[in-house]
Amino acid sequence: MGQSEAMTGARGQITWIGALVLSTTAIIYLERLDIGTPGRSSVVSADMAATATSTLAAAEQDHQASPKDAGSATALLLALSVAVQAGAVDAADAKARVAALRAQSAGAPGSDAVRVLTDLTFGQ
Amino acid sequence: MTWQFLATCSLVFGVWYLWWRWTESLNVGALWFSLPLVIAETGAFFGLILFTVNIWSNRLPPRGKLPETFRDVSDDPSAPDRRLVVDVFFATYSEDPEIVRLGLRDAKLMTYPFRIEIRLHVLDDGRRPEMAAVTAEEGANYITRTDNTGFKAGNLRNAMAQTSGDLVVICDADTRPFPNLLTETLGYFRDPRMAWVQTPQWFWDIPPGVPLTAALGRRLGRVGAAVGRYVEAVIGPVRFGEDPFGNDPQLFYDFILRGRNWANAAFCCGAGSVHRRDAVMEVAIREWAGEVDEAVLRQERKVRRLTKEAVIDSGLTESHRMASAQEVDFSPFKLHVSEDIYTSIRLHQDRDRGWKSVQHPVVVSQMMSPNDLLSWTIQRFKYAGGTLDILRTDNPLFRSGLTFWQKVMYAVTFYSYLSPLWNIVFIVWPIIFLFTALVPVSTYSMDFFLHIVPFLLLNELAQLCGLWGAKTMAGRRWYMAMFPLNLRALWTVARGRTISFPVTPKDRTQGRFLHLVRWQIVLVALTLGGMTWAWSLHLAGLGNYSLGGLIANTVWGGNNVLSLLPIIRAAIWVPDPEFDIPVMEGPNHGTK
Repeated sequence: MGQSEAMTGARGQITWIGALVLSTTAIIYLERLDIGTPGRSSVVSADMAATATSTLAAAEQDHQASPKDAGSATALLLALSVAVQAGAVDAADAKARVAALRAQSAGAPGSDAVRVLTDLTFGQ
Repeated sequence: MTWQFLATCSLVFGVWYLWWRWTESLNVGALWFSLPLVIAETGAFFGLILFTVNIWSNRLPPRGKLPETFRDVSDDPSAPDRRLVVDVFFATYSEDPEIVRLGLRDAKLMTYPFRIEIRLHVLDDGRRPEMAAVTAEEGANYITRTDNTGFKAGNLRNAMAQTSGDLVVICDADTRPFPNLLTETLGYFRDPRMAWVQTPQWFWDIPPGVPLTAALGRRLGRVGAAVGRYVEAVIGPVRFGEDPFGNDPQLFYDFILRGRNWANAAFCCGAGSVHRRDAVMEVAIREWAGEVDEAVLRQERKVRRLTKEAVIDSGLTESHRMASAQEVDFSPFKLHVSEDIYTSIRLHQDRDRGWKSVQHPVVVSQMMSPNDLLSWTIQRFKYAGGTLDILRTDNPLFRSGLTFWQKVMYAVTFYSYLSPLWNIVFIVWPIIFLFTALVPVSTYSMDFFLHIVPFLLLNELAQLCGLWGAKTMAGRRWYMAMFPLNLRALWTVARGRTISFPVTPKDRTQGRFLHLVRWQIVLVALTLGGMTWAWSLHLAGLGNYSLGGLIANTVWGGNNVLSLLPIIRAAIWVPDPEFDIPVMEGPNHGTK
């Protein structure tokens, strides 16, 4: 079999490899856009991701204990933001949680600050 | 070495990926959805390991000088120094006698540098006078029998009993041997332990499809043709509808079967193979004797239970032996729907004799392919069902006889027919995601892509090198697309049903066979529907899809659709009168 014939046979695979590279690049790029934090580094150590997860869990617990407290809401927002950047929480998931948080904080003292912080961090 | 290096890297990254999948990426909130996928991935990865071992090396065993006499192919130095005798069998049942005539004429043109005796035989299970007439006209020997016991294997058994050649060339009704068939293959038989040589099957009637230039020219005139020429000049020939049934066997013969030579595990595929009569007969006799012994022992146990006697009279034992010898079927070729691979296993298992086989790389015959989806389905169902039936009823992997590497190679074949069990998961899971946003992994984050992409990329690069020249994507797509057929074969065998022996039709059946691909149609529709649904929701700001998950599943689903479409197209395919028909009609074109 000649090289040109072999090359013809391999076109499908070469296209597949190209599609894989292209789609991976697109996913990485769009994921960054999606989060609105273009400079973040998503590849972090497992330790850092674990710390982010545990911090988030603690912040959620605090917030559940006093849902109208602007301080605990702010801490939760910060923990969510870190968790997203560490890749421990999906951006879409975080957005859904933030929406719930805003709804819970509405009308409470300091809710405006929470709303502004939400907008700044998650680009609502 | 490049292929082996890349393959090793790919497998290492594959293990790393799977380790991560099992330990860190399961979606514990939806294990019912997450676990089947990771199990399927593991199953497919194990298949990849087996496949890699299979095609690791394609080195050939040495081929001796062409034998001149019977002594040259015998391990007995005192064997008679007479002419070598080669029987050429054309097995037929219902095929057009004129097709067999073409093969007979070609066989008469086979050349050999020494004076050997070549005897042509037509094995007609259809008992047709017109076939007998064609055989006589071509100066061949006509062999038939009164029944069709064992179908093709029985037909061959009958012929073996009526012939005596030292070597036997097996041809199907549509096989057209090339003049160099014997000169290419007989050298291997210098090794007295060489039992058979399989040659690549090559189909002369594979539809070539319509070239892009012609297709565009038909629709858009000269401008279209010019565009087509330009595109083909850049990326090489493009043909629409080429090999619509994925029949091109190059990947199988040149890589899979040839890759088994180093392990002495290339199995026989029937047509285009040359056999040492002694090997086939010797193993058959030994097996027959073993079965007779077993039958006698069974009888003796029955007698002991009835009479309570400790020792059975020797006269009675002899009498049982005689009766059993008459009852136990003797067959050189296993009477089974997959007689080729079954007989191969039996020969490879004979460690006392150490029979060898080889897959020769050069095409020395041509034949016809199933050119409609019905014939194709019958053929593939027989392959799948027959192989799985051997696995269920006479699994050679857990028996003595085969060497470790032979067992690995046969395991590759058996395992490949279990693929529908994971392929169905790979096809259905993205559909579920697209409709429900349920994720089978903990997150479609960078971590996921970081683990999976290096493995996929290296695997693809490895296969690009290892299978260089083969149309790998087409093979992979058909492998994926035929999962309902393989699933049915699996189910049939699992229930203990017998796989029937229908002859694969050689004449093209006209018609649309959409009922044969109904599952593929449903799955394509669901995948495309799911994509539309998911993206619509996402773009409208609804739903709970992550963008990474959406893109990954769209690419995954798109790949599935591309895999399923060829078989759907094959169901409604009609040959192009200008480009396909002349090739498919071959030598008869223009004479009708």
